[in-house]
Amino acid sequence: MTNVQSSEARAERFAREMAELKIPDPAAGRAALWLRLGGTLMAVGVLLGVVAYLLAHGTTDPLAQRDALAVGLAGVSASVVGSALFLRYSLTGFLRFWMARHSFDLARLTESLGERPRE
Amino acid sequence: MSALLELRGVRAAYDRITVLHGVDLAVGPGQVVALLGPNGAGKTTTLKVAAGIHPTASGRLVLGGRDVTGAAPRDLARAGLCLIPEGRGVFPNLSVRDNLLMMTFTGRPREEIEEIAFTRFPVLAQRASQTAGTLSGGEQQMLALARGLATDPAVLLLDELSMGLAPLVVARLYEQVAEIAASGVAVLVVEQFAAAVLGIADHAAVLVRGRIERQGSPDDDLRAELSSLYLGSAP
Repeated sequence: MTNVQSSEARAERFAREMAELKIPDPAAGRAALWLRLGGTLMAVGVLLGVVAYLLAHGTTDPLAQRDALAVGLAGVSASVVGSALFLRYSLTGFLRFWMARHSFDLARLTESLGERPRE
Repeated sequence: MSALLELRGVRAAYDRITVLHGVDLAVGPGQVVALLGPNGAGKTTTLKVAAGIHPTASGRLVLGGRDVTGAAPRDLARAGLCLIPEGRGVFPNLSVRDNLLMMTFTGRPREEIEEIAFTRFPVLAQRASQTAGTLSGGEQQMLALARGLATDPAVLLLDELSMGLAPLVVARLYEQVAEIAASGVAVLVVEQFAAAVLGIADHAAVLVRGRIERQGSPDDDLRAELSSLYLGSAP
């Protein structure tokens, strides 16, 4: 009887927790997309830099060279933004794992301290 | 109480390949539901969808009466949904005790977790200091179950519990699963080898190429149908 009551209570608690669950906006779960975007922007930045170099050296027209300068600057901007995005979303995953590992080590340390016999 | 876990018209895909074509399934508290089917039918994908790990292309995942489609798997796990994956899901380089200690993240003290594990699986107490990777397959599966129980699950999802194990060990494991269900946990078991799980299942569903071909009580008709599905002809 007690077993049945406790199992019903568990099921009810589960249903209550589900009812209270906040389901995040799917946009928040797009970490992988941002990570890919960051990587792509870094690559595009480097590519724009090379293109700008070739453009600048392929002409003696100062106007065209200034355009190449703008392309090069756009490349730098893309690389900086891409690096920031990549670091932000790759570090999140790493730090989450690191935190789990750290909390495990702390729990184990607490256990070992608790088991040490008192003098 | 109504079903704790429900899949309603679930479709799921890997890139452009659709593997589930409108799966409907319900598991109530204290009930064992066996999801059977040949290799590649979509059984593991169904479990992944139920655990919130794999997104649905359409359809609904309902837990405890609430539509939780799109919820983060960690939130579902925190509330009491536990998936024991194929391949056991233990840390092979840690001892049995450390594997259990890892479950203290749930907020339960180590003593309580060990008591639950060692009471249900006394052999784990004898192997407490042994590295999990050196345990037998059955003992590793027991450890995986014990780790799952440490989360105080309301819904337990088991993927191919019998894989690579001797029939006697499988029978003992399923006895434990039946006891876990009897304590009020809703259990969804995915199995390729039907005989092992049908003995304890209250309800069974046969999944073929992403569609539930038949579901009902695990009677002789269903067993016969399974034989024909697996062997490709009427028994």
